[in-house]
Amino acid sequence: MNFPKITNIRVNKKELLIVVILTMIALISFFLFRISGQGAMVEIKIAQKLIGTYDLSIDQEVPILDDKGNLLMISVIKDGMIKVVSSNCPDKICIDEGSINLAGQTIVCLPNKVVIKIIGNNDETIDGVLQ
Amino acid sequence: MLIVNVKKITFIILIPLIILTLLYFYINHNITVSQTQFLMNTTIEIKLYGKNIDKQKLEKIINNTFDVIKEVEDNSTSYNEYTGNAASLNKNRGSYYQVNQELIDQLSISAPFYNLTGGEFNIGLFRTVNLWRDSVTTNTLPTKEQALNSLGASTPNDIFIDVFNSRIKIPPDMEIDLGAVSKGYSLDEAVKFLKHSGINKALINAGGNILALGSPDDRDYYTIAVQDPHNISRMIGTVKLKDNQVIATSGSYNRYYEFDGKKYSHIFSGTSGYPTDLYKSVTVLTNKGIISDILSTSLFLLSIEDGEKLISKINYPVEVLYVTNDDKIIKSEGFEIEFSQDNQYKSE
Repeated sequence: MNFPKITNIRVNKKELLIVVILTMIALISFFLFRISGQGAMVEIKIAQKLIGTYDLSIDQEVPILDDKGNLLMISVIKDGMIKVVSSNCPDKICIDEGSINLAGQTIVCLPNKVVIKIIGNNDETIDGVLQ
Repeated sequence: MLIVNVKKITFIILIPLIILTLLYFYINHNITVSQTQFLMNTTIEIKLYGKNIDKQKLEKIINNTFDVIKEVEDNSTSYNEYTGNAASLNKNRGSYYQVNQELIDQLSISAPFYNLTGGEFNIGLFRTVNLWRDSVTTNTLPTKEQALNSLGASTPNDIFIDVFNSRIKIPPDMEIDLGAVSKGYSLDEAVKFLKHSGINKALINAGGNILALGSPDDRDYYTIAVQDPHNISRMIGTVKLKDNQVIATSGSYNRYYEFDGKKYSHIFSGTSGYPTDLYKSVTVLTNKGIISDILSTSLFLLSIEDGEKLISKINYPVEVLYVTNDDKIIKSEGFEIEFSQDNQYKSE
């Protein structure tokens, strides 16, 4: 039996294009499937609508704006935790809640319909937090 | 002799194979779909575990489940802004009033706990709750006498439940408040609906009550962090919540009335109309939402000895964990929890 030698295979443009496309599909699906395996992130939603996802390991100030651009509240990420430092709501319960850092924990501001939620912690999977 | 053409093999077999594999993984990829809504005076999160291909179906089921919870809420809350059954029942006190099955279920399970707890768990406390709510706005602490008077002379023993005709009669000097019942009950109704919709893996988190259906693919439990009553960014430990189990916490730390800087818990004694603070928190592990809600409140109101008696009386699978005011953890033997290494509590 004669097997063709690898060196004899000539690669034409069409084949190259297919290889590139396949590699891209593989990479995209890899990221699609792996995204939940990242470090702890924090998700901010207003009235169910996701307005942003932030890395909990990067200290930063996150202003929360409504769709008209009005400032509702300001949250701060520091030392792997997030807290609300100011809010225009009357009861300020969201500020009293303090800092959160466990996957599944939430800070909720009912008047502003804002939910701040920690997602995807890589050290240990926590499915829910009993408050 | 077979002539092997590498190009042909690549095109005919390999490429479709790769594409099919990717497609298969994409369709069968395990996902969780979750949504949070503001209901029952708290935030409720419903999380479903399923395949990527069913994503839209799962999202639709979540929305419908929220509708089920919303209906329980509308029928159970006593506040005026709702025109549901509990509010109407309070308005029509003194005579039989037609209600739906949800209210029959909730009252027939919760009313007997008045006797079981020696009067501490009382569903007829709407006037007491209102007294405290109104007092907070004027910043005048209710006196012991005012609190006692708010209870009225009647007790839940004077409620008549006509199961056959779906009617309830509450005494004229009582108004009901299902605040310690309906959240748990709504979880039972939600899980009933989920099962009916063909869902077998779900976690419903209503803040202080979490209910498990099935388990994730890779293990036979959900990991639940029990929050530290002192510091919400820490946890006491983790509990493995298995299929059909519910865990619920009643605490004085997260909801309270404040007068001149002093905090009073939102859980009232059915015999005095005054808040109790025997513990920092009481966590109950059982397998029905309504029982988890009623029992975490009942045990919060009772001494540990009386709590034990209550659990033995109802003859139902219940495990309990107390965080005492002097930061001790006291738990029943069957309450399995993996304590955080940095937790400050002394276990007994």
